[in-house]
Amino acid sequence: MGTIMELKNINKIYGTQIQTQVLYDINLSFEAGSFNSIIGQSGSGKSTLLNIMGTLDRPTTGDVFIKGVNVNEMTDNELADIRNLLIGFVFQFHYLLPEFTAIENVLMPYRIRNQKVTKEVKSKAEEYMELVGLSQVRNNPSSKMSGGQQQRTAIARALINNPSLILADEPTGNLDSDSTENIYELMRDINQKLGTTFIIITHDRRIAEKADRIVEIKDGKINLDLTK
Amino acid sequence: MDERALEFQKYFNDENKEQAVSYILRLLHDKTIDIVSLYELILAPSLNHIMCEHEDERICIWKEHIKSGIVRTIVECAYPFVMEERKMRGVKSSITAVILCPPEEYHDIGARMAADFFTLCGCDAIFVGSNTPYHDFHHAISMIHPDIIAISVSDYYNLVATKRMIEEIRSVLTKHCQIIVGGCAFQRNRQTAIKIGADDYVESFADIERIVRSGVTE
Ligand SMILES: Nc1ncnc2c1ncn2[C@@H]1O[C@H](COP(=O)(O)OP(=O)(O)O)[C@@H](O)[C@H]1O
Ligand SMILES: [Mg+2]
Repeated sequence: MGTIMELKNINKIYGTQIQTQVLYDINLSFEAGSFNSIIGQSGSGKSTLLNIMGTLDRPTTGDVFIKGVNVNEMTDNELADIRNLLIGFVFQFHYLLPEFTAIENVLMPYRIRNQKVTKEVKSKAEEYMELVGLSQVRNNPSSKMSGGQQQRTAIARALINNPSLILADEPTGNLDSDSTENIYELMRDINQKLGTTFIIITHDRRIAEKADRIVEIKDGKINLDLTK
Repeated sequence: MDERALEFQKYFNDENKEQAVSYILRLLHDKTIDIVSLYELILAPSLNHIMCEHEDERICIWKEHIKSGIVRTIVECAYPFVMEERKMRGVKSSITAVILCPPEEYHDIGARMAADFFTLCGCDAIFVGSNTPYHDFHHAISMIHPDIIAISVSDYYNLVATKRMIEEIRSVLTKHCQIIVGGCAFQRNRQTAIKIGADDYVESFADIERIVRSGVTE
């Protein structure tokens, strides 16, 4: 299937006066279509790493290759395309817009890019609401949904532009154990049905143990890299 | 497949604990099976390939528990035969082996069988078992002075904790001690054993025997 994401000698140092190095010489690559988890103690550098993969942050030194192309050599437009089209993001806090309905939130990334929502996209959004099990409540205001429903909405939103890769930062960090199981099943289902690659930071052993690969980060370094 | 294994499978698949246990005990009494064959040809394969035709995963998990309960009962009942066989083998070793699982590993039957294999090799085998509060064990190391520490891991997620555990154990060891690993977690990827800092990987009685023998000559 090929490599979708490759990190080469990534170092990250925060601050200029007082410098803190949080990532040390990270080399990692992820296969397209794989389902991966990243674990590690709080403060070990997981979010920093994920943000660098998602081009939301830049490494101090080192290179990020997405589908073989070096991010450093991309123009701003190309970078915007990568963020919008190739990568979907799911965070611990879903950042849904409360004044919009669930399905409007799902359509938001598309609307931001294309302004006009076509019939095809509308029906794709409906399809994804179905996939995440929310077709019944798709027209409810997002603020009136449960935590698990909101997170599933956020996943549908991450899917709307058909990304090849979903980067999730503790997507179940805020959920009870049943919702966590549901979110996991959903992501796995999407991985299998759509071939979407997943890289998921998680504290939840039920997600990590079912991933095809577990990468453990410790003090900004890869401590362990296990493949099932 | 072994004839005895086939007969056992019949009872095992029906979750017929009574028949399964008494069938094996009869084999042991009649000396038509030895411990190594029992564990390697019958019990381990049965545990590793538990069939479940149910669609509902929860029912499968429940059935798996019942079946591993059958195996557990058999292994416990086999202990007198383990001691008898050790006597017959006439081997004596000065080696102390501690057998345990990483924290939160609930599958400990493999470890239990491994402990019996160490016993058969003449070792003093100490089965610490599953879900060990290993910090307690950690303190006990200086009392036990093990020559071998064997860690059994089934769930691959537990390899993360196993790596940490091996690092911590090494930091308190004062004499030479081999740390070996085994279990389903390594089945598809044996290099993992080295990756997590173990000295060796074992999957059979022969492997354990080899390690014990090499320990004797050291
Ligand atoms: N913008 C920032 N400026 C300075 N330090 C930061 C910044 N973001 C994160 N850090 C520090 O980097 C380290 C790693 O943080 P993070 O990647 O969020 O870890 P994790 O997600 O594993 O908890 C922490 O010590 C954190 O305080
Ligand atoms: Mg984080």
